[in-house]
Amino acid sequence: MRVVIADDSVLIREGLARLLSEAGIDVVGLAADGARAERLVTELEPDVAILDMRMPPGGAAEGLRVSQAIRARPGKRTGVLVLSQTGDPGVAMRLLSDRPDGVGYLLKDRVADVEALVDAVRRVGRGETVLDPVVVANLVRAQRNPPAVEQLTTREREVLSLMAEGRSNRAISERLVVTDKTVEAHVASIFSKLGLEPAVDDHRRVLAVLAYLQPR
Amino acid sequence: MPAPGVPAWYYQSVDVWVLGNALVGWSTIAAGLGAWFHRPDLRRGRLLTAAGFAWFLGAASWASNDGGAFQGYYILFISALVLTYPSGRIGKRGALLILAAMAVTLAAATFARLAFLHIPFFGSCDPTDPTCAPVPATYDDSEIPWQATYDTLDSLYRFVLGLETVGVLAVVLHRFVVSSRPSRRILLPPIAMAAALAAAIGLAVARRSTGFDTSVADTFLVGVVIALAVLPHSITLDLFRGRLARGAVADLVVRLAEPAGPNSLTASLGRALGDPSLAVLTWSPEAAGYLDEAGHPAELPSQVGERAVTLLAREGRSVGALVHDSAVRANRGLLESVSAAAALAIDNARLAAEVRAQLDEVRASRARIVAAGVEERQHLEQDLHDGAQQQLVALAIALRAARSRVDAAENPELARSLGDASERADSAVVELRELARGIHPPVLTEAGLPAALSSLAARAPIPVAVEATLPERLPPAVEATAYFVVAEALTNVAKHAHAHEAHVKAEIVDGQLHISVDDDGVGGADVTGGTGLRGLADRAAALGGSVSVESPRGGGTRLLVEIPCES
Repeated sequence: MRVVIADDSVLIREGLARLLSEAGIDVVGLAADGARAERLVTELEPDVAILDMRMPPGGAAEGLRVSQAIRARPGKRTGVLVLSQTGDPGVAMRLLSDRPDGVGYLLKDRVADVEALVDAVRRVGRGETVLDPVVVANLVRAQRNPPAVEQLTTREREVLSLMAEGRSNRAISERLVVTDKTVEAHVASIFSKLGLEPAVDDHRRVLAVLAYLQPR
Repeated sequence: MPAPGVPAWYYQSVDVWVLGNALVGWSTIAAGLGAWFHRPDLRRGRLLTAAGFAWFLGAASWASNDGGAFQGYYILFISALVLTYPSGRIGKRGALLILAAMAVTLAAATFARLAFLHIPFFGSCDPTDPTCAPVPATYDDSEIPWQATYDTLDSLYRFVLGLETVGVLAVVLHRFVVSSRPSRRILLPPIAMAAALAAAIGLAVARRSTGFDTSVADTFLVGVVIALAVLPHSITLDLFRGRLARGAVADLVVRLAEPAGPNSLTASLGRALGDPSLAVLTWSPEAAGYLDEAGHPAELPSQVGERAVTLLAREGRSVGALVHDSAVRANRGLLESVSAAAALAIDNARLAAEVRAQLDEVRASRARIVAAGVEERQHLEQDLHDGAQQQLVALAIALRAARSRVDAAENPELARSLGDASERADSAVVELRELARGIHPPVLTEAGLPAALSSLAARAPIPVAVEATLPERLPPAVEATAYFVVAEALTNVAKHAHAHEAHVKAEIVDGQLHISVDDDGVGGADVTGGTGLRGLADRAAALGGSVSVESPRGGGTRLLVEIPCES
C-alpha cells in the first residue's frame, strides 16, 4: 500500500513516515503544505493521502479543501485520511457528507496508537469510511434524550457506535466476538427502533447513522 | 366772548386744557428727543418728537382762525409709534392699512375744514371781501348756512378717527396675545398709549354727541391727559432699562433651547437683532479659521462699510463670529446679550459634537480591544498548535516507535518505562488540546460558528439540540464572543438548572447575530451573580451587542445574545 503524508510539522511528518514504514506501509511522498500534497497525489497516485487538517497555505481547513480536491480528481481513486486536533463532529460531517467511501477522520493524538493508525490507513485504502471513536462517542452522548436511542440495548448502542465509525458487519462481529448473523440481527433491530430505512451498502449505512446522530 | 366755532363746553374745562396742552406737548417732545439722542437708529424718537410738535400744531390750529384744520395729526404719529413698536418696522399689512386710512381721514378733514373757512360764520374772512358777510351780534345756529352739513361731517370724522384708533388698539392687543412673555412686557407702554388715545377720542365723541356729564368727563380727561403726558417717557425709559434687549434675548434663549440645527440658530439670532442678513461663522481650531454654516472656510469681512463683525468668545476661547449690519451695533446692550447667547449655543453645539465624537471613538476602541483580544487568543492557540502540541504528538510517536523496538521479554524494565512515558505523553496531548480549546476553539477557525456550537452541544452533559444555519462566516470577534457566551450558558445549565435538555438557536436577523439558549430547568437564574457571564456580556456590549437572561422561577431559563455582525 502506497501512502503520501502531508503535515507542516516535520517531526510529525517524519514520525508518521517511520511508524508506517515499520508497519510495512510504503510511504512514497512527504509534503509540508496542501498545495504540494495535491501535486504529489496527482504525480504518484498513492492509495491513501494522509492530510493534516490545519496546514499552509489555506490554514485552518486546508485538509478539508485538499481532500475535496483529491477526491474530485479524475483517474485512480485515492483514499483520504484527515488528521485533526479538534475531533469536532461538524467538521467530520463536512468531510464525509458528499461521498463517505475512502474517507477517514482521526484525532491527531490517535497517531501514537500505531495499530489504530495502520488499521485506519488500510481501511481508507480499501474504500471504507473511518470516523474517530471520540467523535462518534460525542455524537452518541449528545443523543441520550431522544427516546429512540434510549430504547437501544447496551449491545445495540455498541453496534451503533461501530457502524458510525464506519465498520462493516464483519469488522463489528470480530470486534464484539459474535457471529455475523448476530450483528445482522442487531443492525436490523437498531434500524427499526430508530425508524431508518435499511441501507443497501456500508457507505449509505454510515451516512444514515451519522445523519441520525448529528445534532439538530 | 366765545370765539366763533368754539363750543361753549370748551371754556368749562379751559384750565385743564391749558395745563394739559402744555404738559402733553412738552412731555412728548422731551421723551422723543431723549429717545432720539440715545438711539438715533430707532424710529420711535423721531415719531415721538413729531407727535409732540403735532400736538402743539393741533392746539394752535384749534385756537386760531383756521377752524382746527390741522388738529389730529398727533394721533397719526402716536399710532405709527404704537404700530411699529418696538422694532421700528411695521409688521402687518393690516397695521399699514390702518395708518394709511388714518392719514387719508386726517387729510380729508384738513381739506374740508379749510374749505369751510370760506363760508361765512365758519372763518373770519376779510371784511373788504364782498363775499364775506358780517357776523350778526346775535344769531341762531339754524341761521348759519351749511351748519348741519358741517356737524354731520364733523361727527363722521370723529367717528372714523375713533374707529381707526380702536383698530390700532386692536392690532397691538392682538400682538400682545400672540407674543411670548418677555415681548408682552415690552408691549405694555404702547398698549397703554393706544388705550389712552382711544379713551380721549371716545370722550370727545361722547361729550359732543350725548352731552356727557361734564364733571365726570373732566375727571376722565385729567386721567387721559396725565396718561398721554407720562406714557411717552415709559417708552423712552424702556431703552435705558434695556428691557427690549432682555426681551429679545429671552426670546432668543427660549428658541435656542429648542432642538434645532445651525440654520435655525442663524434665523433666531437674526430675528433677535432685527437683522435678517446676519450670518454666523463658527471657529474651527482644526482648520485654524472660521467656517460658514455649510462648513466651508470663510473669511471675516473687513470692519469698514455696511457689514460689521462681532467676535464670539467663551472662557477666553474664540468660538465664532457674527457678521451683521453695522446698524445693529447701535444697540450695544442687545448685541452683547445676543452675542453671549450665540457663543453659548455654538459652544454647546461644539461640546455636544465633541462628546459624541469621543463616545464614538470610545465605542470603536472598545470593539477594537475585544477584536484584538480574540486575535491574540487565536495566535496563542496557533502557536500552541504549531509548537508544543506538534512537539508532544511527535514525542508520543517517537516513544511509541522506541517502545515497539524494545523486546519486552529481553528488557522488561525498559519496555515498561517506555510504555509509561508513552501513556503520559498521550494524556499530555489530550490535556494540551483541552487547554488550547479553552483559549480559542480551533473548530471555530476550522469550521465556523454552527460547527463550533454543535461541538459544544456534543460535549455538554445533557442533550442539547442545535439549530444554526448562518449564510456566511462572521467576523472572528463575533464568532468567538458568541461561542464563549453559549459555552458559559451551557455550563450554567449543566451546573444549576437541573434541566433535562437544552436548545441552542443561532440566526441572522437584520444584520445581527441572534443566539438563544433555552433550557427546561428550574429557572430563577441570578443574572448578576456569575462573573463569567458578566465579563462575556461586557465583551458582547463592546461589540455593540447585548446579553440578556429571562429566568422565571420554575419556568426554565432563556439566554439571548445579540451581536451586530457587520464588520
